[in-house]
Amino acid sequence: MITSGAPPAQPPVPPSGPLPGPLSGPPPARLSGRARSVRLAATGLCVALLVVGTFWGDDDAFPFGPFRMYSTSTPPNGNIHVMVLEARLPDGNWREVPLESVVVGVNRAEVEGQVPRFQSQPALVGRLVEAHDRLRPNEPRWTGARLIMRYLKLRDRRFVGTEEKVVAEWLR
Amino acid sequence: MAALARWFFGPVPLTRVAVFRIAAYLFIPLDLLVLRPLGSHHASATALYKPLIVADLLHLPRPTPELIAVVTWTLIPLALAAAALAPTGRWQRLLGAAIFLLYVEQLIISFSFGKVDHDRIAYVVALAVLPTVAGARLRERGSAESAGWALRCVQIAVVATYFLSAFAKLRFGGVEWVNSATLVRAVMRRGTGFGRLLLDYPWLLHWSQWGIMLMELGSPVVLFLRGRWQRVAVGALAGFHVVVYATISIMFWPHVLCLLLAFLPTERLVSAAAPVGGQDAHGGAAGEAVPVAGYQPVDAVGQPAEGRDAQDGPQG
Repeated sequence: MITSGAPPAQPPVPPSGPLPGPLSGPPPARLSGRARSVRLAATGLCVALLVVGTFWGDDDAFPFGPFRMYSTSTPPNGNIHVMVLEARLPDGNWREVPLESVVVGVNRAEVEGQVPRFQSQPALVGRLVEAHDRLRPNEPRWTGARLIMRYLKLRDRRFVGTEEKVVAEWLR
Repeated sequence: MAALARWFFGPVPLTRVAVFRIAAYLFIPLDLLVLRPLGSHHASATALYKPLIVADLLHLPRPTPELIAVVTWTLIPLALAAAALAPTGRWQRLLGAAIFLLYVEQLIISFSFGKVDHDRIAYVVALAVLPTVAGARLRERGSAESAGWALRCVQIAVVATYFLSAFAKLRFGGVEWVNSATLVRAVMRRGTGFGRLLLDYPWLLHWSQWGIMLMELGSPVVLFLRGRWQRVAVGALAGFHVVVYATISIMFWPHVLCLLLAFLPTERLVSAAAPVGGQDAHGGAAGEAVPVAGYQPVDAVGQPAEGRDAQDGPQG
């Protein structure tokens, strides 16, 4: 049923030549029994590891970790977490700056993946400032930075307001 | 067992492997320099290194700016050389194996900073299996069981990316995932202008979660479809990625590359541009698709059923 449709992209055979039968080319190259067994075993092992990683592993089990893109649930009346970076400029003012790898060496998702580490070692925020020194040498050097968790509050899946909490701060 | 062997080892045109190699190896410079140039950025923040399990198991060195540069600038010329030589089928096993190892090392480094991307598994599988096919010239009339297995592996990895992600959602998000506000979160965090319009229609995002879950759970079907239906399914999956890109600017580039190149009969691109059998006794002319020997069950697109049966293993 599935393959019974008209064969697409198979134009009529020119009248000048004989019908090229399906076996007109060289015969398919075969694999030995051993080569097949090795391939099947490798396939089975990788599939098994992926399944194990899916149910018992986490991202650090790459390449056999779970495919956990957007896998967590945000309650319809819950909060959405967004990590924000604020930098202290030479004039002493704080300003929100892009939390992107081109600016501070790592991106927002990477920082969010290491929140406990930043909380226990606020000096790591200083590494972001130093990365900025290297990556953006022409910009004014920051005299400090802080990571802020911004909570976007939802009611019935609609945005109703924002709250913020400082996660880690470092001053030069 | 025989059916399993046929499913895994049904011969596939070697031209398809050559096309896959060209695209897969050209993707590497694009990936490292344009789409995801994280390596050079990470080099400025190596203090934030947080190794994966595999890096510890294999005692991989802690990345330094020098190591990151060496891996990146070895990979790029090797990938360009492999892509350039792919039409001839030469050096593909050696170059391909080296590229696989270096690319995986590059991924391990770049995923060791707190974030793992989930669009790479099919591509990593492709890099692993492409070198297992001997030869495979672009203008080749032959087919091979090794090519059938290689492309089947990539197909399985593509499908696993959807199918297993459904179970990851059930594990981490619970069954309430489908009724959560996860897509609202996705759009609020990184929505495009178009995506943000959808925030006014939260029910649409809500029901999309049901659609995603059903699509992911049903994805293995694409492995067993044939011909036109398989192409429709592949097109629908590609369309899903386009919509995701339009709404939250996330594109699974290497995954979509594998989706298209492992499932679609790309050898037709070559036979349409210049017939592989143009000089043979069958009088194939430019623009004609020339039937390829042994081109059979795995993806016998457009072949009448009896034709496929007739091709079943004449050599035993």
